[in-house]
Amino acid sequence: MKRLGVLIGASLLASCAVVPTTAPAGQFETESQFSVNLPSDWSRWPSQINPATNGEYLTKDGMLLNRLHFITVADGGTIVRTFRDSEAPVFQADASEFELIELVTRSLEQVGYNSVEADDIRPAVIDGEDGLRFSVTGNWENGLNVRGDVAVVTLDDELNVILFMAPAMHYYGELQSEVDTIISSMDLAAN
Amino acid sequence: MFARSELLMLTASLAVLAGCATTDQGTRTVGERPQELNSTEASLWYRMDEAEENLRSSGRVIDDPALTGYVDALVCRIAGEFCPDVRVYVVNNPGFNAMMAPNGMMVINSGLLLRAESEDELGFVIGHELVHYLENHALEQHAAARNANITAAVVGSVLSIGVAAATGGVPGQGYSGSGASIATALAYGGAYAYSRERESEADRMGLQLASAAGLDPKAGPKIWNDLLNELEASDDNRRAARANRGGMFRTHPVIQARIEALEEEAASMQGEPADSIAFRAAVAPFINDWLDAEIALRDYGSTLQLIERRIAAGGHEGVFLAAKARVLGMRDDEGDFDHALETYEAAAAYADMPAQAYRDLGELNRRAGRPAEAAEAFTTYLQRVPDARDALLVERYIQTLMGESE
Repeated sequence: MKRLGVLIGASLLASCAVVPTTAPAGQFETESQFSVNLPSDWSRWPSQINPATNGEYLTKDGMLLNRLHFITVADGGTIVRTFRDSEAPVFQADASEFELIELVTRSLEQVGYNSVEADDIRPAVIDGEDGLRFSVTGNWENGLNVRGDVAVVTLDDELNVILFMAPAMHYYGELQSEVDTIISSMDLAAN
Repeated sequence: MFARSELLMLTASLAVLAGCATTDQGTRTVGERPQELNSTEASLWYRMDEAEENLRSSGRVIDDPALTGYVDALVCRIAGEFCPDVRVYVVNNPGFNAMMAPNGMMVINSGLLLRAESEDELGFVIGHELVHYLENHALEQHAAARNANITAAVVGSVLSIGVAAATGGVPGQGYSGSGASIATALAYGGAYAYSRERESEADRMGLQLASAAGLDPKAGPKIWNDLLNELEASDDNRRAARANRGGMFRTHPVIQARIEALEEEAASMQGEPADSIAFRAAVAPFINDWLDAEIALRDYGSTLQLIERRIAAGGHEGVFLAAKARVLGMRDDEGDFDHALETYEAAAAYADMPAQAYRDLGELNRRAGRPAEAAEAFTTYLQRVPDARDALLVERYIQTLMGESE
């Protein structure tokens, strides 16, 4: 009887486990407050299995080779997952666009990227709302040069972010066009 | 063979012996490297060599010959004959911290350089870290943790058996299990107490090293006092509470106790404040970027306390005044807007005010509904930095603002 209880308990625990799943081509409802359209299949990493950041990821070839991060941050929230006594850049609903850029680049520097700099900063209309697009460059913690594209838009005091990061050599260029399509399809009123 | 009482006595004796096992690793000699490749030290050394290699290629290290040359020279001045054994890395990290590894790798956070007002203060921290290296503290702490493991296992078993015998239960189960937990807590509490002792030793001997190198010993208690004030000014209650939080599982002594011990030690030493011109010149190109990283944490209370202190101390006035104005603008409490405008005006009187301050002034005015003033400040920004990375965004602001002000 005791063994049966242990087996049932273990089964229940196993059913709670969260693992990467397929995000098929087509409309993709993110855990955040928006959806996007995926031109091809991706692998989805839900927020529960991302120890360093809030939000969820999509990846084609593995998290170190390309990652598309979707996150919605409430007023006072962070992109970086914070723990007791840890400090991280904080989003505030009245932040200027300059501060939003700082929020993203400094947050990246807290989760393994180094020397992160924003470039090609430009206003953008995202799903009818005034937003911002910019690119980022930096190094992964092993020194690998990385590049990325970022789209941010604030709506109802929440910051919606799509953040693409990949090694500058090959992987960034390989997916840049598809990522651009995904960012352009951002539907803020989806959820 | 043994009666239960004898068995308990024997086990307790073993536990006491394990707990008392020596952790002293002696003092390091010049050029020393671990000789036995399968020793604990060799293992730690190898891991630190790997960590150092990773750090070098990580992009976190500030690779500026003037800054690293200055810090290297100061380390050598304090380390004396151990200079060739130590390698220093200044890394981008807003936290107030430095670290010394047993293989000779010293890491200094940019957040520490932002807070240090003088060569004396930086010298004290370097002295503190060098003591960890010279006195083999990492190895000793490793030994203390190993002893804690043994003590917890042996005493835990004894208590578990004892409680089980007294309550008629099974060792390791029910109430007897709590015996093992108590033993673990006590053993690790002892290891943490040992860590605090090593920190106090590093404070005391670090001050002596810095003083012997001709630096002002009063800088030791001062840098800790400044940090304490900053933590107490924090908007984050947990961070403020941390300033004076004690407890058996703290690795470092309470800051107030460190200050008092250092003040007492410094009182018996000689030394005058060093000329910090070289120090200020070395950090000058980076202060604005380090402040940006600090401001991004949005702890306005502690950041303003830090900035006010640095303004009062003198040096980099244009940079610190502009940062203060920016923080006031972001905080936006009653009176902050006017105070920020005045502070930008004061900053503009200094040649080292960063051009970015004009952009921030533009944003402050834009948010306050002053389109003409905002457009003027943004325009000045673009005149100063015509190829700014955010030029497109700022140009759009100017166009919109000029439309509004007409």
